[in-house]
Amino acid sequence: MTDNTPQIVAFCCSNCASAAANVAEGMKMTMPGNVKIIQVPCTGRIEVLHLLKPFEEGADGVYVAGCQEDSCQYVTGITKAAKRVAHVKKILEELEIEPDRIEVFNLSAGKGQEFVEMAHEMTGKIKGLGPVLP
Amino acid sequence: MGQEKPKGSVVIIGGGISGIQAALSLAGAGYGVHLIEHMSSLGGMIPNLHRIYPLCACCKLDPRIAACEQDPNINIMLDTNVLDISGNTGNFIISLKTGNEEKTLKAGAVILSAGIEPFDPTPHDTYSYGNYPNVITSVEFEQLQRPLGPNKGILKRPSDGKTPEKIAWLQCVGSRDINKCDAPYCSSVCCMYALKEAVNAKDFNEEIETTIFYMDMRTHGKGFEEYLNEAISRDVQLVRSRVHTIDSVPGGDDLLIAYADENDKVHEENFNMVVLSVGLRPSVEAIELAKKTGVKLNKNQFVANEPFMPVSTNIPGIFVCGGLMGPFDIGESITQAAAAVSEIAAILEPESFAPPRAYPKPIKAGKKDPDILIAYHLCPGMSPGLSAVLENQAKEIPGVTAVIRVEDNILTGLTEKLKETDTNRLVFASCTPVVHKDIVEEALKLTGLNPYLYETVDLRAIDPQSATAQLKDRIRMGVARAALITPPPVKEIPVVKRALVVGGGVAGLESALSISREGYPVTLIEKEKQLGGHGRHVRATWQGYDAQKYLKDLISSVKKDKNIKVMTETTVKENRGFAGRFVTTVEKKGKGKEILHGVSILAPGGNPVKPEEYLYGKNKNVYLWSELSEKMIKAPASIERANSAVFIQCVGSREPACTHCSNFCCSFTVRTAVDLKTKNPDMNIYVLYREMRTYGEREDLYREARDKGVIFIRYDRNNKPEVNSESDQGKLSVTVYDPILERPVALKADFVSLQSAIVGTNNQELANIFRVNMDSDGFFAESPEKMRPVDASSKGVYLAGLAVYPKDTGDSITQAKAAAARALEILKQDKVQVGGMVAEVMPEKCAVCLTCVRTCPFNVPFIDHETGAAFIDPGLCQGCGMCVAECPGKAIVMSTCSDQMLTEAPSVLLNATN
Repeated sequence: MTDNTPQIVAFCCSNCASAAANVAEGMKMTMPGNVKIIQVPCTGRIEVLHLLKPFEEGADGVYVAGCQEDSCQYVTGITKAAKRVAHVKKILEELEIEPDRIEVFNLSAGKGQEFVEMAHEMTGKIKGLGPVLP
Repeated sequence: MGQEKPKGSVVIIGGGISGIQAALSLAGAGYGVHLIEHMSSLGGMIPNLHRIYPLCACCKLDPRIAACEQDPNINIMLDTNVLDISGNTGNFIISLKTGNEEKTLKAGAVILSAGIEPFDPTPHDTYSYGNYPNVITSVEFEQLQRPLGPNKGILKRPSDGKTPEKIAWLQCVGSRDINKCDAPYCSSVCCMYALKEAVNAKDFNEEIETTIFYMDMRTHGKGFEEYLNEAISRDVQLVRSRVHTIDSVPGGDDLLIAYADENDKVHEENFNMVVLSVGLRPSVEAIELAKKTGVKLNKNQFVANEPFMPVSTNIPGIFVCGGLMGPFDIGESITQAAAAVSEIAAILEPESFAPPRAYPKPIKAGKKDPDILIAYHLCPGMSPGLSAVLENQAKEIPGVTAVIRVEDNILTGLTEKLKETDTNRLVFASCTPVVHKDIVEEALKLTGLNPYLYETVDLRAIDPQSATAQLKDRIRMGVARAALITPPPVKEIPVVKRALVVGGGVAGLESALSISREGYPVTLIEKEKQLGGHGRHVRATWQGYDAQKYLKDLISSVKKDKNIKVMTETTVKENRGFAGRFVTTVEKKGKGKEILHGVSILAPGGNPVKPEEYLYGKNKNVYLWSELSEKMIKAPASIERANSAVFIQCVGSREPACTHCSNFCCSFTVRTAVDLKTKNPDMNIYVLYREMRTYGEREDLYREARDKGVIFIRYDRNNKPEVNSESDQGKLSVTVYDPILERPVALKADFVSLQSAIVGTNNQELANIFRVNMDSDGFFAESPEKMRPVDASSKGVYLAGLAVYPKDTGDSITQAKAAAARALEILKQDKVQVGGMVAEVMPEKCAVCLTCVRTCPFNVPFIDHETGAAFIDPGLCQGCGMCVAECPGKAIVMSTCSDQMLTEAPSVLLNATN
């Protein structure tokens, strides 16, 4: 965490991310620079190891942004991702790292502002927690 | 293939967006095309525009112009005027003049697409255009706003270069005006562009006060009402008044507008600048040509046509699209262009100038180490500083051989640079990479590379405070991923030459016929017992044509067509596959059946919602509009005998729960009112409306209704009319506040017709099954709006009819024909490429645990007993990668999103050294 700005890695499903970026651009909203995006075809592609890796590389927080559970283009992708995030929360707890450092968010189709808002929300939350290693 | 058709090429007159679109579609279908434009560049009106709702215009038009220039089957002739057209289908002679040189061309068919000209307000003394420098037309205002315009996007007024603080827009300049402009029709697009210009002015500086003076706010198109609401929330002021004079304010360049408000109170207000929202005129030159050729014009000087043959002229073999047919927006013009292509395919065999594009044999690039080319494309609105950042950044990344900026001609630029630098991976950065994916893949193929050896970088939504760092992150990520791609296997699969049409209404029936007449079989699914859909409740088109006779003929031609298999009382249960090869499971009376097809057309239709207000369902004389039509079709006497009738508009639409405008209700009402008044001139007819949206030439009908004595009373959403039952025999009384009399009035009515909102019948379920997106109003979404108006967000799926957005019969037919034309582009191909972004099983690692079989949401993997391993058909795989994540033996790989990419990504992003 440099200058009190947390480093955050976001895994985003490319359908949501592209649609959201479109709307966000139209609304003149911008993504905060501290949130680094890794696009995946579907959040169901993400494994537990992929979610832990950013912490090892110095991230202060990680989140997954995907579809609403009832409208995932791949039906169960986001449900699987949510399950894995829950699992990673347990692992973090065992490692004595706050489980709140990882989250899963559901985007509504066509609501780009949420995409930007969740980046700010997560940044604020992680700021409150401080760096992983004091 | 039906009767013997003549063979020939096609001449398109007019190189605006509709001409360009028609040229590309025709060339795609194998026709040689002469595209003739009288100006020195292609594009027509669009290059003048700043943004086209809702997106920036540049990257939508430029790739299309480039595609025309690159296509060996399109011969572009600029600075060329057409002198005459003679001959007939299969055998037209077109004489031309380029400069001083005259020549003739032969063609099998002709499309007239020379479109519109903005109205010139100079002779119109009211507006003092030309006298005061700060009175400008909307087209000039667009120029001022353009980032590439004279002021580089900085809004300045002409007289002194100051940024205006107060701007007024005056609507209907050169429209809805018989006295001075001789243009009785509504130009249809001006309300929307004025709103757009005002919002864009707010984007430039939120402090600018914007006021639009209007008569009726006509935001009748898809998503338009939402845009209106957004403009209102951005504090764009709307004043219902027609301004009579503009005066100069003494001692300065400001302008004084005097206007009367709705209560006839006169106001005076100063503005720094006044924008005249000028209407559209058919091009003078095009009218001359039409007259000379014998193409019939209507009284507004647009090409005359029948609603059931929407792009045909009176001369067989000559078709029309775009602004020459009436004041249409971009989406409508493109749809008409595609429909014209479908009509040409029905009468003419293609004659090409050149064989289809040939690809070199793929080279085995995967064996070499990654050698990366970064290419970027900047829209004019984007910060030019991005360029330097990109160039500098690229040099520092290992593995990057070259970086180039591509401009107008993206395909050629990419192909040449890939060859020249001998690179084997591409990172493509632009504002909307989705739009450029096809071009990028095509460039890789033309170079002989695997078409999936690229990564895209999105340049949108960058925070200006940390733009450089953010941009670097994105580029580094793109490069890192591109370096890790191994060329995925690509297979060619034969196209299944059958179309599936969902929905047996007007749109479904028309598209089925258009496909079948090209010789391809069609399966048409209708969930009800009868064909016809909502068309069964349409009595007449707004032009007054008998819709029932048309529908009867249409249904009978479909039933007679041996190429079309109609399945009624049938619903769709499941769909999988890809453009070129879909498998759809349908169910009829509990029995399932699988249909194999290459393309899908979704036209499930729409219905008016049943309101819970205005005594609907409680008094038998309160009709839903579809019920009134049905009654007028079957037993018109009782309706025609009525002494008094009330029509209530916007029932349940344009309200928070259902925000969209249902588009054709106003035209329905004036048509019905005019017809009732014709039969029974003594009948009192009242229309209670919020805005009369009789856009385009429908305005003529609105005037006719008023001339015939139909009374129009405007009401406010916060002060709705009230419908009460009278004591005797179902008679009604309606109370409404009359803004002109400034008091409530009570109207007696023998019947009331409620024009309620039109919504899609079955969109959510079908959207899930066919994996297509919907918009926020619950209609199917096009991808991306404006430029692909009949394509769904999934490839190979096309859209038509009420399920896309409410529209009248004529527009549904146009859209259906356009959807068919797009579908035919796939059906005409022999093979499609599959694979690429899909999962692949490595048989030697597979333990046959069935995890993938259970995981896949689309039931694609199965156990192949010959190899003793799971198998994933690359043609059916949707590329989500869930099985890759779940496979306990790590036996499934996805080369475009590998484990290595995902585990190395955080280190690339977080441990930046620069």
